[in-house]
Amino acid sequence: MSLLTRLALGLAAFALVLLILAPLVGIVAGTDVASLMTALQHPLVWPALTLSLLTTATSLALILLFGTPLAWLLSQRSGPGWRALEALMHMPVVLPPAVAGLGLLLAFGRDGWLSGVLYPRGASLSLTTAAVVLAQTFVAAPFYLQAATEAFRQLDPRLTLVAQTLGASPARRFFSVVLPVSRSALVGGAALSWARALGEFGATLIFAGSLSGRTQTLALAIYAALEADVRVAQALSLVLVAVSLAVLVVVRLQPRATAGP
Amino acid sequence: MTLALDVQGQVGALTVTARLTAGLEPLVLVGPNGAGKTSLLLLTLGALRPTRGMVTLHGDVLCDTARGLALPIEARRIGYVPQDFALFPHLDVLGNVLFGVPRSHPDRPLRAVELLARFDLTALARRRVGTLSGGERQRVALARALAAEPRALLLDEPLASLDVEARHEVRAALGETLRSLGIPAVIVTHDAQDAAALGCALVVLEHGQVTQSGTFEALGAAPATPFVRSLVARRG
Repeated sequence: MSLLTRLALGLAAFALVLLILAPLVGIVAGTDVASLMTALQHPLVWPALTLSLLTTATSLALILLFGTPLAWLLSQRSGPGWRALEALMHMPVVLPPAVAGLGLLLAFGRDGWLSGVLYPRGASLSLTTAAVVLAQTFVAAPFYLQAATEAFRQLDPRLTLVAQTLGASPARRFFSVVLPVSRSALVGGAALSWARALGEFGATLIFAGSLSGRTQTLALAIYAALEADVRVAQALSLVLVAVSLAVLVVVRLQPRATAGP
Repeated sequence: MTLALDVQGQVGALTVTARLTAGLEPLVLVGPNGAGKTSLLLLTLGALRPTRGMVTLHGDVLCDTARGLALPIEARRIGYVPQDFALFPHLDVLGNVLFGVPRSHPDRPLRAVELLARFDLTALARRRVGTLSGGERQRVALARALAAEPRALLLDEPLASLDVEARHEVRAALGETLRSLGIPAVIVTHDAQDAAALGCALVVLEHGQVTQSGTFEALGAAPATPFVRSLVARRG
């Protein structure tokens, strides 16, 4: 490889590294502990932080509760209908957040097509904390679903067959073999889902609004803080950067395959 | 005490047809790769549905296509040691064996500990199965299968993943163990020396069909196919 080629390659690589790291440096640099502590006492911060923790915990619980059985079904069925369903379940990943928000509004809002079906006509989820949870679940579920489906697919079918010959019931096979053997992949998927839910912005803003203490999550509070005090926005961002970094470490530390001995 | 099969099953393009009876002497199912040996075990377990035929164990019907009867896998009480053993990777040695002990057993831990001692695994009780040697893993798989008090035992290539040195030793021990169980055992192998060492009753399966059965001596006296001839020659 000539010197020129190597130089061009290095420059190209450096450009993207710079682009990805520069905003992170911007958030971390120029913050000292004292001003961080002051900023974190701003009235915007505490309600947003607790709301984010509450709503993401709820949406993650919903994703695990409903996503695990769905992932199992998807992993065990192979018809074209199931393939199509699996592809559809990944739509929220590629859907623009604004479109997701509008879709949620048109389904669960006051005039949504589910109004009068799920709850009395005229009632609405929009602008409530439940709407935040719904938006987070919608955008974050595919990450867990994909990880879990893939993990279940890679599971050695002889493990469950042996368990069956040992007299294990379907429930015991699922809870004592399938889940623990797939654990690392499930934890990784759950961490990604949670991080996505925590950062949810567009769909929440359109469907749930930005009401402090009710629908204003950390991500929305950053946007609101930008108008009041940029240091508060920076402090909130720092919290999210730290959490994101922790999630990345968790995901990276999980062994990739659910390999047997 | 017999396991009797008279089944036909379809696995992809291969039609597996077999009629055999295993008594207290271990039965060795031998044949080239792709002959349908594993499929025959799966048909016996109930993991594959026979297209026609019957499986009985000690006179109890486990499966009878004519009557539309098929007992679920978990109710057949047939122990299974798959190729590479499929030990539960998230459990230690004790956990694997304990998994097999029925929940109705009055003293599950004691039963598991007894089995560990019987298979010389006591010192390894807390080891993760991923760290065990091939021979150790095989003993764990056997102990786990026997923990469920099976009425028959099926072993798929139990010696294939062992190195040559361990194989000699384990082969003899396995044969002895299987004879001492007092239940029918079917062992699948593609290896002539394993077949010779493990049992006196052999069934040769080729292209899904039984081509010959009998003792090694009988097979050697009148080999019915080129495979049987080479099998007898490979025994050395």
